[in-house]
Amino acid sequence: MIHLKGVGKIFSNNVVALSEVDLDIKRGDFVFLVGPSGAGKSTLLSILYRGVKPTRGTVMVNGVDVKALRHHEVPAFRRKLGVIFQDFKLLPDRNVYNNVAFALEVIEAPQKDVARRVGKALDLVGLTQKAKARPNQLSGGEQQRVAIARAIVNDPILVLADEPTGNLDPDTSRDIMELMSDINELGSTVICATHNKAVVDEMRRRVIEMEHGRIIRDERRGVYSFEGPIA
Amino acid sequence: MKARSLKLIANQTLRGLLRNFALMALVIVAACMFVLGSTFAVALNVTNVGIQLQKQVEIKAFLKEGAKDYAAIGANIKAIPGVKSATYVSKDEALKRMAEEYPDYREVIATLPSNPLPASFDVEISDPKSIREIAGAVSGISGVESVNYGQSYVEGLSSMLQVLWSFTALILVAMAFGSAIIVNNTIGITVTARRNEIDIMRLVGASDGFIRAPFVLEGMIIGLAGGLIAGLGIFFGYEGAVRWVHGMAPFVPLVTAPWARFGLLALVVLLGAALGAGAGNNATNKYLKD
Repeated sequence: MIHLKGVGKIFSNNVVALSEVDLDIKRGDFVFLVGPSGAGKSTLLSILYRGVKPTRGTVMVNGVDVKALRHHEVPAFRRKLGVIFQDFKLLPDRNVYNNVAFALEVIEAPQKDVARRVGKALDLVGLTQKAKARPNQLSGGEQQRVAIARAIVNDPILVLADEPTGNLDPDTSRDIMELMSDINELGSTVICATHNKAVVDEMRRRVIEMEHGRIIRDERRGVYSFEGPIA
Repeated sequence: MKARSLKLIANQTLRGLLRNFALMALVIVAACMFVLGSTFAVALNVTNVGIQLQKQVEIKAFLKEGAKDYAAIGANIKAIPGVKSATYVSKDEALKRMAEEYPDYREVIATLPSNPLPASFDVEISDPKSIREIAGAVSGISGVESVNYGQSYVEGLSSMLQVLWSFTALILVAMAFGSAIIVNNTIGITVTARRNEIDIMRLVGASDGFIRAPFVLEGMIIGLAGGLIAGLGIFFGYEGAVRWVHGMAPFVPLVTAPWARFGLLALVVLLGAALGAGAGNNATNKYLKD
């Protein structure tokens, strides 16, 4: 599903964000990306959805050579992905339903599909009753659920989440991560960058730890802090 | 593009226009277009003054006393390249004109024992720059005593107009450039304020054209509206300005024809719309790069 070989990223200000990253992720995996701020987690996610281009190396996502994608091919590639951020990135002047529907409308999805798919996504995140509410009428957790609904409304093969619980309290964070787990069980591969130790330790999923732009640990059922190989 | 997508783009545009930044942009664009349009109006009239002054440049060809075949002389003058027309002025006509030009001396003119003025030709030329050569050719025609074209006046006028036009063109270019930058930056602010929207559209896989459309449309509408406000100000202010200048300097030949006002209005509106659309496009492109 995802194959990275010798991937490096140096920004124009000469900051080395990634260096010699090799990584393989199978379809249906649930992966936590952990590590200190500046370790390269967000850059790695950004490379996967072609937010930035790698400086070197090979990046294959679902059989697509992401680095070789031409500018006009990027939108079609992104339609197969769902991306979630810490700051939700919702449109404040649209209600919940329209924020989710927006993702389908801008890709000119058939009209008859929009209502059905938005309804399904809102049902999955438990916000059907709040479809008409504006983002400022929702709690942080609910806003993140809207962002998740928008990310999954297009049935993505891969969901990338960059600190999705960064602005949320522990209980809400746990709910959001359970939701991410449900999405994973429905078939989407999920990669989630996080600093949330409690959730990572509790869920015991694959953990990839990064530091200074390199992968320093990759465990099948890992925890936030390294505690030795698991048999 | 589907009708529903056009509706979504229109909706996006409308949402953008209803924000505070759009009103700020409208005011700034209107101010820029007003200054630019006014500069165009000044340039138009400076050009007209030059054209009118040049039109007044003509050669006076005085005929020898007793030259009778003025039709042949006139034909010879008209045959010179660069001569637009040659109008015969008889001795009587010359005296009549003098009386009209100097009414205080009418009585003196009436008591003259004989008409001292020679017959002549008023020679209009198409290119004032060639006046020296044409005057030389006219003076060589048989029956022509002498020519007069106000040598020093014509040469001074040409130099002055050259400087005036260069200066006006320079100011016009500077104003157009300055206005384009201000409009570009102002519309750019309205796009930057909605950067989140662009990011979201990119993330969900909207095409560049789809993302760009509402911002280009919004810029165009702001430019069009700003241009219209400025254009109407110029349209209605122009007549007053012409009256004011005429009151102070009635001899200055200003453009008073209606086409000038309508032309300035159309120019400012179209320029505003084009600059606005271009600014929307530029600002959006900044966020669509890889």
